[in-house]
Amino acid sequence: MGEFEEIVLLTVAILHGEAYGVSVRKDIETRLGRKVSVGAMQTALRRMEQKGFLKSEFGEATKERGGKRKRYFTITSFGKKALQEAKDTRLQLWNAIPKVVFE
Amino acid sequence: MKSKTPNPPKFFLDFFRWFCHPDIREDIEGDLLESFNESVKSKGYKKARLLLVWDVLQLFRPGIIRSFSGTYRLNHYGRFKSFFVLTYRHFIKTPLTALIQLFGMTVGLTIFLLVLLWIFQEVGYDKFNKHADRIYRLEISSEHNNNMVGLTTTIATIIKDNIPEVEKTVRLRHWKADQTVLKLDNEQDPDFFRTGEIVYADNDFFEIFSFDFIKGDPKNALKKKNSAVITESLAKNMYGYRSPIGEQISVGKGVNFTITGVIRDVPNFHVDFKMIRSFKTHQTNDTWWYWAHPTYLLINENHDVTELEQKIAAVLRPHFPEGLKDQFTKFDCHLRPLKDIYFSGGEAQEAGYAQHGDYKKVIAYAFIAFFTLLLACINLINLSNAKFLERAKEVGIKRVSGASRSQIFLQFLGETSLLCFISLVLALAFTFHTLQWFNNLMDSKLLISNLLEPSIVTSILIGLVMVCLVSGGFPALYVLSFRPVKVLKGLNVSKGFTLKKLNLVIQFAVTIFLLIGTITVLQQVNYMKNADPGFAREQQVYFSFNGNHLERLATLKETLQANPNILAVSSTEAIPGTYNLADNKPVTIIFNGTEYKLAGTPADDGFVDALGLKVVAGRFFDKAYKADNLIQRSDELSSEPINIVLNESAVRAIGLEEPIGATGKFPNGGIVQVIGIINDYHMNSLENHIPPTFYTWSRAFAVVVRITPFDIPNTVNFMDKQILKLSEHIHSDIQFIDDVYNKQYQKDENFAELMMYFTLLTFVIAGMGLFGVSTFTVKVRVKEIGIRKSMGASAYQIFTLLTKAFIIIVLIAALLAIPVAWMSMDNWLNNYAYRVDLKWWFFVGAGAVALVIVVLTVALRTVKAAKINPALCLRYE
Repeated sequence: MGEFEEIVLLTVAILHGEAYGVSVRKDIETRLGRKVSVGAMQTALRRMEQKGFLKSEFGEATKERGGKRKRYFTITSFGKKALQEAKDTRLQLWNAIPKVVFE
Repeated sequence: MKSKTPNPPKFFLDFFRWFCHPDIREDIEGDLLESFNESVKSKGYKKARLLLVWDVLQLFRPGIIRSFSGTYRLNHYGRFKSFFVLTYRHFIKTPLTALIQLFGMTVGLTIFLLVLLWIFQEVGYDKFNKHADRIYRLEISSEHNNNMVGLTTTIATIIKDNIPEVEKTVRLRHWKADQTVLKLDNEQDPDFFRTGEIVYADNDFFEIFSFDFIKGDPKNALKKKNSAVITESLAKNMYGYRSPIGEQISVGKGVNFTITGVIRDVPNFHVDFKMIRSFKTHQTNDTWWYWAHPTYLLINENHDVTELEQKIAAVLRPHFPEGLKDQFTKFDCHLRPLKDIYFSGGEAQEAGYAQHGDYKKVIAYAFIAFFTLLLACINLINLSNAKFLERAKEVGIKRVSGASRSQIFLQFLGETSLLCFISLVLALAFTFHTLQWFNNLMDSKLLISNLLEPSIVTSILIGLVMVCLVSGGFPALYVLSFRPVKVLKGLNVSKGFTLKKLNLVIQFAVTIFLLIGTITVLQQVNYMKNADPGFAREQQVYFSFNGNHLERLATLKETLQANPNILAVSSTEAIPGTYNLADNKPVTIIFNGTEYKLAGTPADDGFVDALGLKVVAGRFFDKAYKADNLIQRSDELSSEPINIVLNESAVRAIGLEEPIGATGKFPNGGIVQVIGIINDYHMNSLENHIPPTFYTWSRAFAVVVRITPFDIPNTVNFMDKQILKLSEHIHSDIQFIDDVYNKQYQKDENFAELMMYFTLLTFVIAGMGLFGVSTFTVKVRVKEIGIRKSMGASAYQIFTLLTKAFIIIVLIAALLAIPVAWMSMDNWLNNYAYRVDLKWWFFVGAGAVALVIVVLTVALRTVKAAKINPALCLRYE
């Protein structure tokens, strides 16, 4: 799992049931203050869905969407496990840093 | 009024809809629109549009873009892809058959390509000249000589000065022998080089003929005395990549040449040369002497050639000097178009300066190439049929699922075409590697780059399309004949076996025909090479002799004869292998009131000894009889008859009962008396008859020397020195007669060798095809064999059962091939005056060889089948 994928996955988890294309992008942009390319984000979403970290279902269609339905993404338990692992790995590494380094 | 919903950029949205994968199109499009509407509110319409465009462009990336096959869009990509996949899988499944198919077609196409290159070169001779339509060679006929090409130097000058229709003229002098020259660029360490053939030519040579100049000025290259133009290949040999312009070369004794130009090598000019020297070097003043200069005229457009011929004759006639006038009382001019020269071998007297092609040979090779290709096609058809039969179910399913006939036809046609295309690529590689070998064999100068000429590319493409249509079309039609219902029920569809049999018959008929041809050609060549030519062929050398030094010839002869290793010396032009008597216009002599046409040949007292001939009756010329020698005959003898010697053919032709002492006379009144008869000998190839000939002791421009077999190099060296002593301008071009004589058969030998290879290859192709077909037959009949065996048939019975059909095919093929071969080989042999007879064993032998090969090939499969355990092949039912 790449860094960008991890961010997208975490955002989907944060939004919890409200995660679809626009909301995920907006959330990353406001929360992290970085520009997100739609292409990169959409590819990441689809790839993670294929890997089984995410699952998706169609939601409601609104007028400002030109009558097109939303696709809501939710994190699967496999996705959660992957996030947990990623976090653990980091922590393990953080813990291994000698205290002296930050002094 | 502002629109309620602002429009997103339609083009980019459509673009997105087009490229996006359909599964994810809806929600992403929704997202795009939602963001757009939002940013219209917050950032304004223009900026929102730009943002959407930017988003769309960012979405154009793998993962979002749909794949281009397998969607519901109605194209044929998927079908074509499956064709390739199927083709590939079947290649892998039956690799042996596929390889046999590929190899057979590759061999066929390679031969096709090689012969194609060769034919285009032969037919294209001299056509590179821009003015080819307006260039003519002047030939003169008189009483003694027909279509004489070697003219005197004055003739061109007279024509140029008096006939305005002739724009330019060029005179040539050609030396067949090459010369050793000395490079003078490095005085400490001068290098020797062999020049290759040399031509002397007037400065207008490059105005008339279109040669490419790499360096130097074509307008003035041959203007000065002692200047020379060389070909690129010779220049590379002598000077590497340095410019040779202005370099000096020496031919010995202070005669130095300056190189004034380099031209690109031209493989298809009818005169072969590596070096051209200015004509002034050869001769400065025009003379009426020395008939040895082919003369070419460039005439203005739109002139009637026949009229011009007459005009030239009329202009020339008054210019002849007194001594020559009586020799040219009858006098005709003929203008031969440049484009006809190459295929006009033997029609004019050329003394061997020009190269000639043979139309018959072109046609023969075209036939061979065609048949080899046909065999390869038939081979492919047979094997494809056998292979496709196993795919009957595939075809059945396709037909039932709604494939149209044309789709199935195209699939199978395409499959074979793909194979042909791969074969063509392989054949190009083969051609590249075998071209050198082929060039050596054909004595040609083909280049691989010739393949890129538009006319050749077109022919190759046409050939490929034909091959694809023939060898792909028949099997595809065969596949179409399958009935889906029957096929799917698992019924056997072994129809089309008759076609297969017919194909095999054709293949073997062609193979047997070629084999008979090869045997015949080999027999004839062997016969010609080994037949007794009637003269001693070994230890004879000859050299030609410049007419300007005739008076010194007697001295030279005496000096030579003083050497103990020199047995006999004779000045004559009748050099075996070089001098074609049949070319000469015969001389008329009247015996007993009847006119006879005899070939006249100059000889001298040493002639019989030098050539190793036999005096059959009477005597040959002798110093003791003063009347014999016409060159030194004193005037008081002028009333005496001229002594002549006849050959046996002449005696037979005239029908003299007592030839010795018989007298006859020339039409102008001169009396001749026969003093002796010599045996007939083959002065030329056995292709030609020995003409009735008479010999007189008269002027000749060549010398034959017979030497002992001891210390030959020294003897030749000695002769070289003696010849050079005569004059510093003389060439010494000593050659061995047996070399020259055997060279006549070089082309026949090469033809035989090539026939042999072609035959071998057709055998390989046919054999492989047969192998494929027998494999198939065994496969189809394996259950039958099993049942027969379980009923008690022996392995031998099975073997004969399976082999019999093929033996019958070979017999039918032989029956077809033999009469055709008989007629065409008899026809071919009739080109030769002295020929072998067609013997029965040529035919039986060829048939037997074919039969043995067939039985052995078939046995590879049938023996295995005959030994099969019936339990194994009957297990599944």
